[in-house]
Amino acid sequence: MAELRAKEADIALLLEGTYPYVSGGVSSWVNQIIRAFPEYRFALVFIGSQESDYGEMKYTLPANVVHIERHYIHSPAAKPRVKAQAGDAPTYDLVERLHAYFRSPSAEGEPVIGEALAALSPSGKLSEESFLHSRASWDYTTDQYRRFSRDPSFIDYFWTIRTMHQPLWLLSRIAESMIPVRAVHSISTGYAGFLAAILKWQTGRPVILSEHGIYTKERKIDLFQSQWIKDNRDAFSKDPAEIGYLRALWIRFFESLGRMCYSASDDIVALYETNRLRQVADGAAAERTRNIPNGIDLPRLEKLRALRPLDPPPILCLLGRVVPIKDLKTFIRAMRTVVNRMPQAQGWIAGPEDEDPGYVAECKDLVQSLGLAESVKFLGFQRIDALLPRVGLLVLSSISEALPLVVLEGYAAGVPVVTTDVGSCRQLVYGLPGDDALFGAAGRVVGIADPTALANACLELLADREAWHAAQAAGIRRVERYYTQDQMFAQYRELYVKAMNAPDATGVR
Amino acid sequence: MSAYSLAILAAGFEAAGFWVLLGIGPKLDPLASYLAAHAIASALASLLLVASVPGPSRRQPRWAFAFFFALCFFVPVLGVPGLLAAAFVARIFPRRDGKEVFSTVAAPAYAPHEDRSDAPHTHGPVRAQLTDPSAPVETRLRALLSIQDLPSRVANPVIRGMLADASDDVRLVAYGILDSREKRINARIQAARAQLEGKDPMARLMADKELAELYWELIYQGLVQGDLQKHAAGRARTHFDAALRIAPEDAALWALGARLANLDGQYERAWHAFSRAIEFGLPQARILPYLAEVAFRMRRYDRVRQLLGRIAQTSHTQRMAQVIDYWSAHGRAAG
Repeated sequence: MAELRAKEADIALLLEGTYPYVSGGVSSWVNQIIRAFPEYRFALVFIGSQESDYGEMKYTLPANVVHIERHYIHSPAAKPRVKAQAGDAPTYDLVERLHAYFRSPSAEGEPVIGEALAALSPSGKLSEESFLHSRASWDYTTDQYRRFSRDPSFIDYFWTIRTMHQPLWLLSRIAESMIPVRAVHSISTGYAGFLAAILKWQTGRPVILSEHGIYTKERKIDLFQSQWIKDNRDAFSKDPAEIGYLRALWIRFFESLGRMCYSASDDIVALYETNRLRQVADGAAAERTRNIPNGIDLPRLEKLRALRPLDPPPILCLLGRVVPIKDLKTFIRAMRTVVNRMPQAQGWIAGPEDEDPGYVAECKDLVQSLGLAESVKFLGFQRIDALLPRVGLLVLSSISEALPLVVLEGYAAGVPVVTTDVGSCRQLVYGLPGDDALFGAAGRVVGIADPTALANACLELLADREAWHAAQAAGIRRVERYYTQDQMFAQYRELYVKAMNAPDATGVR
Repeated sequence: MSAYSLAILAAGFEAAGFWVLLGIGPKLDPLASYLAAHAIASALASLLLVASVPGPSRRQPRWAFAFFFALCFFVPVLGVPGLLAAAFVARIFPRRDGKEVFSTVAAPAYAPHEDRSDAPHTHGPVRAQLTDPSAPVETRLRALLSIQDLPSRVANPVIRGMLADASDDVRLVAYGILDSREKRINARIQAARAQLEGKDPMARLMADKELAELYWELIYQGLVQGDLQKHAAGRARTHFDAALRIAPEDAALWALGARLANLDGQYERAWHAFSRAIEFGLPQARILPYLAEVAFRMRRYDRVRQLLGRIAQTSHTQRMAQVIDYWSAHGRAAG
């Protein structure tokens, strides 16, 4: 892999588990943004779990990417030498105040974040050595365990605390060695967002945060179900309505990372209103938040409309990576009902299959066991320009989405959608109240994991020529009016110009 | 007195002894003075050794002291310095090969994990919490997590209802629970299918039987609906038929077939199959309630009363008791 190194850049993009090593909606969006601003030099900071999880780059880097560095949270790093030390007592008082703030956040408590980030920097007193091997750290940990832990196992508590916090020093070192940039743009909260917070503290340069999904929420859902977190309470001490303490600790850890990122960000961008409100509820200052919806390349996609047959072909297409979050199984199950009622119908699944081979196998098994081998096809990755003119309906069966680009691309190419009620899909199909809603429904929205409802909605649109054409027209008008990439770029240009010209922030180091 | 001060004192007395002996110090009887100082130094060094050296010296300190004192006093010049050096080495390099010596720790403090009373108090029954759209998301989430511990058959329809919740978090957690339950059964179906390929008829019988049960489980736990339920029922029946051809006297198989027939509304067949299940050895107490249900669906209320009358003697749950009470009271009133 070629290394790109520069002495300095204009904008640092902090990318956790996405572009350029993972394909998908967020990555396409990052690609769009970099290409839209050839006047700026970008530095990419990729943060992944471990190196073996990622293959080659999925994108050709544009010429204005001048620097790229990769870091892995779970890579086996060199451990500091074990050396007994007392540890700095006032620092652990600060740590205690920080955790008290995270337990019950308040506006007055917020400055403690800056103090803590300063202590965490390589020149600060809260070094990794001190965290791992000092008497003060041990005393603090045992004291917190006695006061707060609802889990009886100290060993599990102790190792949870160690494992959880260790990446913070890695991120602090990344920030220290980072090339100078004029603005920082993070594409999520989490580890990348925490890095943004440290950079803000160390350099005083403005931070822009763009959130597609809500990172903290996704982590939380994941943590609710992960099997690797232990719960050592026995039947007598367990309150079933209360989640295990170690699980709760992990959730609060990611909530706190998010809070620190919101606190450091000058501009916080959501894709749609529900997510913006969620950011505010999670600690973002409302006056720094705004919505900038995704947009698509209209001139390129509108040409595809001319290539379509007049009547909708009975082809239902799910365009997306074959991964559990897209819930392809619901689509496949819905196809059972669709084919029962409309035998000539076809279900196409178009998207890369390399991310989760186990899930791909499960989906293919399901097609076999439902006897759909003739009707459901796995096409692998496809260029949408060739695909969209041939399909009658785009289907999105995801259990979670933000503002899916495929829906907008489908609209522009003249294809209505049937989606699950996730993210901003309701807004995309029925429009926001006001002028937007007057365009009408550009498809149908059904509940998640409800194959029967999904199938009925698809059949209704495919069987009713007039309803289908009305949905097509509504989709075209909606995307042309509200979701072009020119509108999106104009809003980001404003943010970038403001950030590039901002003086160094005061009140930081 | 600490070990170091003991050592310094011993060395001091020994040096003082030599000082007098060599005639540098004050004018005293050199030999007597030397011997006195040497004796004090020997005693101090021995004390130090008794304290430093592990093992027997701990158990018999007097004899150990006498031994060390003799060593110090009667070995000229090297005695005291040599033993002091030995004590020093013993302190720096504690014995590794022997048993660990226990050390005293503070008494453990009481850690009140179970005592914490900040646990949220629940607000009424779980189902009410779940379906109340005005309840905070956190409350609904907790309620959802808590009903996971109920039997799948009871919990799943409630959890399925949560897929339409207004909150994303609740929907996703509900989805995750149902999905993992379905996955577990589907993984077993895949494994059992692999067994079907084998040549051994016994293994194939077991596989067919397991598959019929697993497909039934998908239906029974409420994990499949609509066309998929029909599909699962069809698969269950196919494997049931295959298994029954090999083992026509398997009581559990008959009971499963009866429940499938009941699901399809084929009550005559269900009645027959349940009767065969009892005939081939399933306990009546388990099958009678099913028979009563089939009789009820066939509108043979006289049979219901009669069957429930027979259950009355066997053990049953409180809910069952209420049903039996109703039917027997009804019977008395009518008859």
